[in-house]
Amino acid sequence: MKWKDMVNPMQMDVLKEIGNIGAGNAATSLSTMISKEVEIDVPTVKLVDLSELYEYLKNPEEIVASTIVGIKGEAPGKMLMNFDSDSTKHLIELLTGERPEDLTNMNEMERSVVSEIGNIICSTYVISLSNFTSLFLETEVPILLVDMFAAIISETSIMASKDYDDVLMIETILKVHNGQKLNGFLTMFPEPGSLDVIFKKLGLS
Amino acid sequence: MEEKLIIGIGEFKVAKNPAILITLGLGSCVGVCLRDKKSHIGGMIHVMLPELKDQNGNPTKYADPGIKLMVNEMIKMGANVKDMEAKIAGGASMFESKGFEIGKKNADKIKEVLRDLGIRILAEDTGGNRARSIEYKIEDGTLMIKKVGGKESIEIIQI
Repeated sequence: MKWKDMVNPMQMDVLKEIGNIGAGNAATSLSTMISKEVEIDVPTVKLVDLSELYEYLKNPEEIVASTIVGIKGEAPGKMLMNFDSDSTKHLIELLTGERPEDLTNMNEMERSVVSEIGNIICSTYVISLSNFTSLFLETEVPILLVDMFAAIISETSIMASKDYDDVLMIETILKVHNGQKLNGFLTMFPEPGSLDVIFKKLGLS
Repeated sequence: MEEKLIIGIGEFKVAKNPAILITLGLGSCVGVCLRDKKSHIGGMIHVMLPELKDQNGNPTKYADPGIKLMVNEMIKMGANVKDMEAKIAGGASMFESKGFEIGKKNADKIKEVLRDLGIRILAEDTGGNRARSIEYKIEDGTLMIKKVGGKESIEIIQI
């Protein structure tokens, strides 16, 4: 099964719009947390064959910190907020005043900061999706992972849609400009039945 | 110089020595490496799930029938099942949540399939909660496994 065969161009545009609304609100909440202006790139909807995921990710073995938040309710799925190593350290520094040396050995406080930032961003996204579609959606407890980027992406996509041979990602890049770069990669992975529910609710099926 | 082949998620590739087979970012997925120690024909499959149930699925994503398909491919190239040996790595549970133990299910199914085929597993590095990248040298069957270690370094082991 492939998402590619199931989503038409108009529906792709709707998913993009969902990404736009979700990411816009998520950026605002990040901005509030760190008191800095946050920019978002225009969200894109990506359909990537699993077998091509490594090429797509460019640096699949990069060590990253990701917060994964499950979406429950009428349109379940997964949200993933991913920051590269430098950005994660920078975020922790912005919020605690101290820059951690080693992502793979964060203390309780640092882990909690990263996980909570991810949680707030993902939850804001889900709430705006819920408002936009009038669907009942809730978020699950966040999971923080520090590991290889490719493994985190493929693992999240397996959890959301294990029988599919491609990955559907609604993704946005979050950027903060204050001398130091801060790049985040925010992605929603819908579960198979969820798109039908969303499209139906919006009168598109 | 050996040729390096990268195996994508849910794919397999077979090759004749000299070649190095590579796959990246194995979480709950398992890399199954096979080689015929006499003819030096090898293969690697990046198994995502234990068993194909829906006939429309891509068979190479699944331990069953993916491994058999790879073995057949190797036989076509001239390998013999009785001379084959296996090494496996992966099957971590990156999320400590209950009910998502695909990693273990994958590893169990793989062992069952290999046992049925009569292929011996020489070594394995499975389980845990960290992702792995692996490189398999067809020439001597060494398997290099990379994991994220402390100080954001890459820890390398060889089995």
